[in-house]
Order: sequence, then C-alpha cells, then structure tokens
Amino acid sequence: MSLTLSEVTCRYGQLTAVDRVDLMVRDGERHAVIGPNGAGKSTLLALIAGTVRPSTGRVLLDGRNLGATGPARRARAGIARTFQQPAVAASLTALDNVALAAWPRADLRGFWRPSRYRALRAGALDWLDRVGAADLADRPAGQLSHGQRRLVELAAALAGRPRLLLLDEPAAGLTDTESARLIAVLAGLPAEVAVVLVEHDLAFVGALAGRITVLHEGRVLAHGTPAAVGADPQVRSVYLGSREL
Amino acid sequence: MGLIDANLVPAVDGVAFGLLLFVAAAGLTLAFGTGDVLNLAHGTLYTVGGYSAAALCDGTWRGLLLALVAGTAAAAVGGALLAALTAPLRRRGHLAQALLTFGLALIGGDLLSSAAGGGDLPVAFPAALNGSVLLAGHRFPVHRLALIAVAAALAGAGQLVLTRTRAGALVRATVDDPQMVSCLGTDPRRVHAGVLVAGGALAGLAGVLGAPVIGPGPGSADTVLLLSLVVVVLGGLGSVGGALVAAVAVGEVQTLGVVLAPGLAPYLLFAAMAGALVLRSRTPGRRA
Amino acid sequence: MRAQLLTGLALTALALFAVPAVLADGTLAMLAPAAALGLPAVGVSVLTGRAGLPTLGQGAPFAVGAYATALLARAGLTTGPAQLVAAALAGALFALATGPVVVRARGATALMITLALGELVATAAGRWTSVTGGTDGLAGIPPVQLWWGGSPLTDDTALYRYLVVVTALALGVTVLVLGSPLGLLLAGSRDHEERMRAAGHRVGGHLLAAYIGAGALAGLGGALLVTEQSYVSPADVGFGTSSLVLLAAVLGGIGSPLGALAGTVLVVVVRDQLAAHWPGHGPLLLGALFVAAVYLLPDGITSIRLRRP
Repeated sequence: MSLTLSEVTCRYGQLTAVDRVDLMVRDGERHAVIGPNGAGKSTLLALIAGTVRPSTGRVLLDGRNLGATGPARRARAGIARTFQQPAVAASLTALDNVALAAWPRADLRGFWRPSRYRALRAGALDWLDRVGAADLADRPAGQLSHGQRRLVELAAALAGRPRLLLLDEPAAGLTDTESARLIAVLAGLPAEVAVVLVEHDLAFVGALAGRITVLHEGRVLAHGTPAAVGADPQVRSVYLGSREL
Repeated sequence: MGLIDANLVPAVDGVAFGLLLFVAAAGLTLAFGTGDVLNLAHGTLYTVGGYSAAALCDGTWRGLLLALVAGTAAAAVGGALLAALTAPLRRRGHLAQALLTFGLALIGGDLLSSAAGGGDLPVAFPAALNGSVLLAGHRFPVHRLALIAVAAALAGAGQLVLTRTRAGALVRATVDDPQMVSCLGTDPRRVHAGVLVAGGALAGLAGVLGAPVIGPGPGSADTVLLLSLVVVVLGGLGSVGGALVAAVAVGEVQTLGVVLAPGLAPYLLFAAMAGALVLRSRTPGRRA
Repeated sequence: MRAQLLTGLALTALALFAVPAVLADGTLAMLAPAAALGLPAVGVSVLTGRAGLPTLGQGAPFAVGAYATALLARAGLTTGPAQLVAAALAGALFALATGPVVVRARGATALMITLALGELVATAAGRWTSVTGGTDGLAGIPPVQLWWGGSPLTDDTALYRYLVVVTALALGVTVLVLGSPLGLLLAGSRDHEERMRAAGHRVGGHLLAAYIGAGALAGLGGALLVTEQSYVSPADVGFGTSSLVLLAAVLGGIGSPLGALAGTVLVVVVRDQLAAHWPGHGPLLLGALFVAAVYLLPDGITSIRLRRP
C-alpha cells in the first residue's frame, strides 16, 4: 500500500503544526519520522489516521484522496495505529482487546456469535504470543503496566492485519528486553506491510527504518536513507543544538 | 405597528421574566463553566428565596428588604453546602455529581415544603408594587417594571464584577482554562466553590424578587431548573453574555410566544435546547 | 453466563410462586410499579453502564411505549403480546429517530440533550390533548388478555405474574445480548472510544444500537405501566421518572441489568412503602437514597468489572 502526503498543512488557530509536508511511503517501506518535540510528528500520524483533517493539502492512499474519510473507515481500509499513550480498553482482558481489534478486518463474519468469537480469540492469542505477552492474555488491560499495555496495543494493531502500520513512539517506556522483542516482531512483519514510525530512540529507528524523514517546526528538514540523513549538516545542527533524542 | 402595539404588554412582561431568569441562571452557567458540574439543585436555591419571601414579606417595604437579605443569605449557604458536598466527587464524573445534586434538591424541596406547608404560597409584596401604571396608552404592572430595573442593575453590576475585579478575572480565566489558573497559584476548585456560593446567592435573590412571577410552591424548583438549563444551553455553556440574550429570548417565548402561538410555544424551548446542543456538538475539536 | 441464566430462572420462579404465596394481594399491587420502572432501569444499565452514555431522558421512550399501549388498548387491541411488541417497537422507533442526535454527545452534554428530549415528550404528553388526553391523561383502559381470545387479567396475582414473566423475558434477552461479544463491543467503546475507532469499529453505530435497545426496554416498561394501573398521565413520564430509573440503575451497580431491577425494587419500596409510614416525605427519603448511592456505592457508579463471555 502506498501513502502519499501532498502539500499537507495543519493549523490549530495561530499555530501551524504541520507546514506543507510532502511524504511518500511505498509498499513495504519502513519509514521513520524523527524530529525534536513539537516538530509535528504526532499530528502527522493523526493526519494519516484520519483523527485530524488537513487545513490544506491531500492525503492519498494508493492514489485515492482520503479527504474527509474518518478514522474507522481508514482502519477498515488497512491503516492501523498505536497511540503515544498506549490505548487499551481498561475493563477488558488483554485478549479481548486484541480480539476486538481484529474483528473489523477479519475474513469471517458474525463474531457476535460466541462460537465465531472464540475463533477470533484463538487468533488474538497468537498475536499476543508473538509480541511476547501471551501470559497477560487473561489480565484486565487496566491492571497492566505501561510497557505491557504497549505490547498489548501493538498486538491489537497487528491483529487487524494492516497494510499500513502507524506507530507513535513504540519504544517509549519499554525495558531493553521489551524493546528488542519489539524490533524482532516488527522486523518479522510481512514484507508488503508499510510502517510509518515516529520515534525518539535513534538506535531503534536505525534498526528498523529504511528511510527517514526529519521534521522541524512542522516542516520537512531532510529525508532519505539513514546514512544520508545522518550526514546532513542541517539535521546535525538541529539535533546538536537542541540535544534532543 | 398594530401587532407591536397589541403585544407590547406581554413583550415587556417577557423582558421582565427573561431578566429574572438571567439572574437565576447566571450562577448555573458559571458553575458549569468553572466546574463542569450539572447542578440539578439550582432550582431549589431559587425556591429558598421564594419561601423566605413568603415567610417574611408582610406587605411592608421593611418585610421585603428583610426577605431579600434573608433569602440571599440562605441560598448562599445552600450554595456553600453544595460546593462542600460535590467537592469530593470531582474525579467521579458527571453522573455522580448530577445524581448527588438531584438528591439534595429532593431533600431540600421536601424540607422547605414541610416547613412552610404544601401548595403554592401567596407572597405579600408592598401595595405600591401590586398596582399598574399607564405608559404610552398601556397599563403595565409596576412589579414587572421594577423587576426589569432591579434585574438590569444586577446584571450590570455582575458584568462589572466579572470584567473589572480580580475575582471576576479569575472566574473568567477558570472558564477558559482551569489549568492556567492553577499555574497562576489559585486553586480552580476554590474559584468554583466561590461561584457556587455567589450563584446560589443570586438564585435566592431572584427567588425573592420573582415571587410574584414564579412563586414558592412544590413545582417551582423544577420549573426554574429546567428554564435555567434551557438558558444555559442556549446561551452557550459558561457564557454570561450569551445567557443574558438567551434568558430574554426564553422570557419572550414564555409570554409573547404563548400569546402569539399558544400551540407551539411549550415545545419551542426544549426543541431549541436540543437543537443548540446538537449544533454545538458538531463544532470542530469535538469529533463525534 | 449459564450460571447467570440459571440464577435468573430461579429468581423468576421465586417471584412467580413464592412471593404471591407469602404476600397479600394488596402488597403485590404495590410491587407492581417496580415492574414498570424496572425495564427502563435495565435499559439505563445497558446504555449508561455498558455503553458509557449517561442519560436523563429514558422517561421519553417510556412515555411513547405507555401512550402507544394505552391508545391501542382503547382501540380494542388488548392482547398482551401484541401490546408488548407494539410498545417495544414504539420505544425503539423513538430512539432511532432521536438517536443520531444523542449518540454524538458525551458526558454532561449527553445528560442535557436527553433531558431536553425527555421534557419535549413530557410537554407533548401534557399538551397534545386530542391524542394524549392532556394533563388528565388516558383513563378507562381495558385489562390485558394473555393471548388472543383469552380472558382479561383482572385479579392481582394473575396480573403480577404477567408482569414478572414479561420482565424476566426482557431481562433474559438483555443479559444474553450483553454476555455475547456484542457486550464486549459496547464495553470497548465505553472504555476507549478512539482505540475502537482506530481498529475500524463503527462506534456511533454501536452506541445507536445500545440506545435503541434501551428505548425498546423503556417502551416495554411503558406497556407494563399501562397494564398495571389502567391509566397513564404526564405525571408518570416526566423528569422525575427519568431520574428515578437512573438512580435505580446506579443503585444496582451500574452496568448490571439484574442489579438495575433490584435497584428499582428498592427505589419503589422506599418511595411507596416507607413513605406510607411517614406521609408526605417520599421526596426526602428518595433524596437520601440518591445521596447515599453516590457516597456509599462509589463502585456501583465508576468501576465495572465485566465477566468474560
């Protein structure tokens, strides 16, 4: 699935959070968006996911303008996401969280029937196992730690078998073990799944991303391969100047 | 011209009714704005004033003055009580607060009516207020004209307090952004409690002043609460200026509307309220 | 799940046979209002407890169901099942018509929109005299028949059993639906709406379904009200009713349909029975119940633990 942002601008009142950004993510590309705090990274993800609409410019999925399509329809079209604050339904078990997330894009229908739903849960358990959280399956998500919720949320996003996966700081708040596990899981995704990753942790980005876009004050400062971006003098000055990351 | 002339008396009546509602509802809209609390006991605070009027007004100016002071003070105490009781429920959300205030309204209403006796009570205002005067060829009841004058003065004074004093500035800031207020070193909860007390006092004052319009009785708390809610919603939650316009509009619907379109007027208020809520819930930033 | 249904069946049997054996006919008649208000309260537990949408306007579909039943009965349709289907449909249609407005709102705004709708309907009940009889209400409603051609239910015990059976059936269906994965969908939407949207769920549609279900339950309750008192007036359906059923649902530990029913019995007993010993102070007792519910049953209001299906 290919994603194109063309001249996308997003303003909140006086503040321009995202300013005439062009972005191109090809089928199967692992693309990282980095930049200092307030660079507009999370807004960019929200624009792709459909929770925020661009003031001007277009977001295209496989060449089709998404326009005012809401987040739920975009999700059914194959865009999955995680949130900066891991989002889970607190009163439901981790397993039910994953199963509910798999529901809208699953091949079978009729999950309101308990027997069908059990099949959905079997698949969900598999996803929890892949992210290394199978032992949490029966715990209410509200009782999990921050890092555990992140894993459950990631399993939920993957269980929808997305074609485009949006990750908002997936490594934040994870232990080193959890983080390594996460890299392994993401590296093991089917090759055709595109990933847009917003992250502060440069090591994490380096391990996954084939291309990087650097945002600064809402604008694209640089984009290209990790090596090319790392060598860019402008990028170096922004990062060394702010000591961010 | 003939239409205006024929309906001048109910129209003026409507302004009086509207201004009365504004004084009664101002506290409710600020309580909503500063604390996001749906205060279902607000109508009861109004009736505190009404029952004070019934008990203390004996047809003399001194009695009326006494009732004004006592009614305002008693309703202010009621507001303080509400502030104290809802404070622990802050984190528990709208439902808990709404239920609590509704329960307090039931208790307060019961205590008031059992102390004063059931049924609608007569209130004896000074004779000078009960007459009417001839103005531009129409007879206007003196009480309504006096009500317009007093309520307009109260609205003006309230506006001055809100815009020119530090307390008023704090209230306005809390409506806009409670977090900013706490950064300035004032606890928004104290502002909210202050608003509940002042709003209660205003409601009690309105209860005394408006006793000839909506008098003390078993149904008046609900009437005032529902009309105030309509005013608050139509005026924009937390907006005092909006509440003034909405209150006068509601007053006109209740008087002029009943004369011009008796079949439609009763529905108009709640339809307008629902409509306003729907329109506002579609504004950007609140995606459904 | 199965245990819940068995408990429900046992309770139903108890209510059907043990209670009439112990209580006199007159006392049974006093329990009857709990049947009418119970189903709207169950609806609130679904809508507010499970789906997370607070409401102060369930008096509206209750009124629609009650007046529909009263009008049908006066027109000669006195068969119970037909009345119940008509009342549930009327309540559901009302919810379908007003739902798009309600399900957009959350929190205090939702409370106020539903309150406004409730007041609109109560106003219509009081003013639309040609249909509703105005403030006098509709009286002289013929008794209900169990089935086509059956004899009218006039004795208190038979009437009571009819109310119990209808309530138990409606409650059973509600528990089944909530226990199915659909109940999980509603809980997920309540817990984290954005998460559910991001997964591709039509959250607005789920809320609308819950609102329609609650409307149908309230409509059924309206039918039972008319059956039980052979009379309906605007006093039965206003703001007071809406807040009572909300209180009942909260007392029962909101989100639990059976609890909502128990809460209704408690509310009705306090309002009608205790108040009979202390005349004129029904509102005081109810108010104390509201305050106690908020302070003493915080778990009933905020935290709901769900069973897995």
